[in-house]
Amino acid sequence: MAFWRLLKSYLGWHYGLALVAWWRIYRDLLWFVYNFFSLPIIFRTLLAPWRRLGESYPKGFSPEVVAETIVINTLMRLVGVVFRLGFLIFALPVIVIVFLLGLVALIFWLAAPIALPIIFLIGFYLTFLA
Amino acid sequence: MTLFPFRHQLELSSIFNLLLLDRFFGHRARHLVLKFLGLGLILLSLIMLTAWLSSVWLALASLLPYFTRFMPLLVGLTTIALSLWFATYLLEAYFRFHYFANLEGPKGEKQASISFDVGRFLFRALEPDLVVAWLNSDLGGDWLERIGITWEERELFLDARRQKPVSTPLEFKSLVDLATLLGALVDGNPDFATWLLKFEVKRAEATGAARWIEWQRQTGRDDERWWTREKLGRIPGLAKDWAYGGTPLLDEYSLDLLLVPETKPSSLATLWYRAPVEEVETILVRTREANALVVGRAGGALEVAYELALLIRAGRIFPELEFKHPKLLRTAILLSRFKERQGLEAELVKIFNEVIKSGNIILVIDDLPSFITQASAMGVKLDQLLDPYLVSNRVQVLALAELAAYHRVIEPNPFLAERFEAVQIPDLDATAAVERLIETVEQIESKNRRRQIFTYQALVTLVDLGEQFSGQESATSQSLDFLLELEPWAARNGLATIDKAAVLKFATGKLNVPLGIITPEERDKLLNLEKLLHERVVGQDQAIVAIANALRRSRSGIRNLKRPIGSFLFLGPTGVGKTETAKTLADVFFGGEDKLLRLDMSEYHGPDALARLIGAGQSGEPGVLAKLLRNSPYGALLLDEFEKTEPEVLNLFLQILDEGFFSDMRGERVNARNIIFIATSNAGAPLIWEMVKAGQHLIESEQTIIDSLIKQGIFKPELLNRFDGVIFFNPLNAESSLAVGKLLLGRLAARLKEKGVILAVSDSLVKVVVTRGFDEQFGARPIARFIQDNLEEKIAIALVAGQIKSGQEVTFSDNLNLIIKP
Repeated sequence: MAFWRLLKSYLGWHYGLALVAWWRIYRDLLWFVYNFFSLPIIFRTLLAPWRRLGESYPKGFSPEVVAETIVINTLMRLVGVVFRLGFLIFALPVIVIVFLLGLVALIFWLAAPIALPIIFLIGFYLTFLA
Repeated sequence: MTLFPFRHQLELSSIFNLLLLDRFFGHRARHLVLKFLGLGLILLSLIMLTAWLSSVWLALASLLPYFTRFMPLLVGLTTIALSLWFATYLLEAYFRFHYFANLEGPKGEKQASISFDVGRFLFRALEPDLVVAWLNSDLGGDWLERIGITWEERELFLDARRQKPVSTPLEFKSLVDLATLLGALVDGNPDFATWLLKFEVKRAEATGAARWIEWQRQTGRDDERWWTREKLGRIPGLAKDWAYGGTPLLDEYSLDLLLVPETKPSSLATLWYRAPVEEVETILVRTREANALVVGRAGGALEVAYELALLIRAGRIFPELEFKHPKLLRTAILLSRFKERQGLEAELVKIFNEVIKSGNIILVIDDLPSFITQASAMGVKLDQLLDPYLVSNRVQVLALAELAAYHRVIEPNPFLAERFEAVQIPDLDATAAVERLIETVEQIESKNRRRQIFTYQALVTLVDLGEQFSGQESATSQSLDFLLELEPWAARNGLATIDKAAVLKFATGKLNVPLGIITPEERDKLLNLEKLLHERVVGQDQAIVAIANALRRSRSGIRNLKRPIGSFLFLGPTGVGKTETAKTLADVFFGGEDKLLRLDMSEYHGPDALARLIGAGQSGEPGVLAKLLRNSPYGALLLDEFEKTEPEVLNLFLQILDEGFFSDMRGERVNARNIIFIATSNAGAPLIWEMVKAGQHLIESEQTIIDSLIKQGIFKPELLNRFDGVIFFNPLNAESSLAVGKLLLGRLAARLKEKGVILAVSDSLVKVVVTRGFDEQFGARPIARFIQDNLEEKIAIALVAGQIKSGQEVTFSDNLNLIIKP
């Protein structure tokens, strides 16, 4: 009696609230990798100078200094872009992998109540009967 | 009587399925299975890896036939283990989901439904007598350990209880958690409550200890949830700072709160500081003047900064603050590096410019008031120097201040009061303070593998001690300091259980203050205090009873720990025993007249009076009062001629008498909670005289005298109210002056006896001395002087001249001629 009650409750949860929980965990994990690799800030500041390095423009009129400053500041921005793009090449695949793993986990979850007994039986067969 | 109490209600509750699962396949069993199968799977996969290697690597080729033969078996075992592991894991997930759903309730609020641990206890309770069931349960065992009751004591109680089993009538709905369950058990079973009282376990301790063990289990289960946003968010990310400037200069002087280990979630503190942290958040995201000033008891304000850092790390903060680093400016290092005004100013400007340039800093300044005072001692006007930065929209400052220092330094300063928005934080209440300690105790106990166990009462005592003896630090951090020292102390003394008595013993040794069990000798003193005081003070019954009561209250532990032991204002004419009472008190209770600290308040007059007492910021000279109380934090302090000092000094005492501490000029707290304050004053003496002369009883005219003192502006009513007692000393009359004369002559006789001279004090001698020496206006003092001038001097001359030999008896004739008996 108690066993059936538990089984019923379990299956109800497995295909009900647990899926909501899966969605929440999936969302949080994606949020985590997204933030772990600081993607929001990387995208927002893709063209910003590297660590705010740079020089300020002079007040008076001196074309050489202005040109010099433009060159330096552009260089700093370039350095920033290069670093950030390099980082993205490394980070994006990881995010894609987590994204796919979450989907695999969902498929596994949906199949588990049927798949696990079958896997067990196969194992039993291979171990003792084959 | 049903066999399973509350079984029916449990079946209807949301956790019943969890209880069933717990019955079939408990939490611990599941974890064992998961661990065992996990190990098996790792082993099997290693074997399979070797099998695969042997097919590609020639060196292992000779093993291949074996593997081929056993391959189906290996694969079979692996799939069995795998499927079982997953099945168990699914059950565990089912359990966790419902467990935490029940704990958090709908919308994250704690709902008033039955907790898992209470349900588990009720589900397993096989007796209708819940007290017996509780004491027999595993939870009950842990609980007994926490309140320091031994197994043998438990058995004795159970034996008695089983004779007449009681079915406890409890309201199921009220059993929300273990604490409420215990509260209900204590309330519903007078014999159980009485038995607990025998071990000094009151209701509060019983429920507190229950909350502790439930909290312990909950955090244990919570640690398994690595996937929650709070936990994931705590893992620091990569490349966060690439778009922000560095702060090499600031880093020399500061500490990044995101990186220090204190930034760990502690559920209890988080709850306590939630409201102020949210307020700080709202202030910091403003577009200009985003400066918050957290005001609270020392230490508390810093907690808010840590909590803010925690929120930032967890990513649960307004987007405007998301990538900010709260950096704690170490003002002490900054101040110590510069001797000159210009250097400090330039450095501060550089630091603030760096903060602006970097763009991701929240500057945290601990103890802003003392930073301001110390800087101003070097001639730096911080308020004006920082004003442009504080107004701008590019700097965010989170300053911290202690309440008293805030009132003294920040509030009167219009610049600062304008630029900072103050956020008050509440003091931890006693239960919350104990819960703060529990977190540390858990760490200590797990580190020493539970060789030493703290009882709940020990922690309550530690909180009280912290409250009573904290100096510069907050009460909580003082308790924590004691706690950290306790463990090695207990280890040295071979204590396995650290209970209340152990804590008190430790504190007595450390602080040199009598605490804990009252010794027989001390008990004698306490009970006969009036008699002991009367041996040296004539009359003045009212004063002596008041003081004796205050001391007994203090020692029995029922006094208010947040105030001084006692505070009295002695009013009366000169020479009636005010000072003598204080001296006697110090001698009897604190072990020597030299234990009486003394300040002549008439010396603290003029504009620098306060500075001389609490210290001056400019000169860095420590104050007299601060030094006195730091050196001897336990004793009696006599404030002579209290009314003759400045009003601002009287205001200082308003705070001291009320809260038991004050802050010196450096903003450091000075504790005065273990001091008896005795202020004496002969203000109102003429009025007392008049009344006594008119034949009125002093007790009846007290109010008239107090009113006249207030009317004359000598004391403010609020100050008089702060004293535990305003005590009137009667002028000496003929009868009491005789007693005084006898006492003083007795003292002279005792002194002479040490020199080997015996002074015979006859009644007629006393009478002569008093009649000739007593002066109504100056009380006993002229008698003492008379004895000194007429009697002592003559004996001294005779001693010098060699007329008196050791062992000889002397006396005086009625006209005070020295008679040396042969």
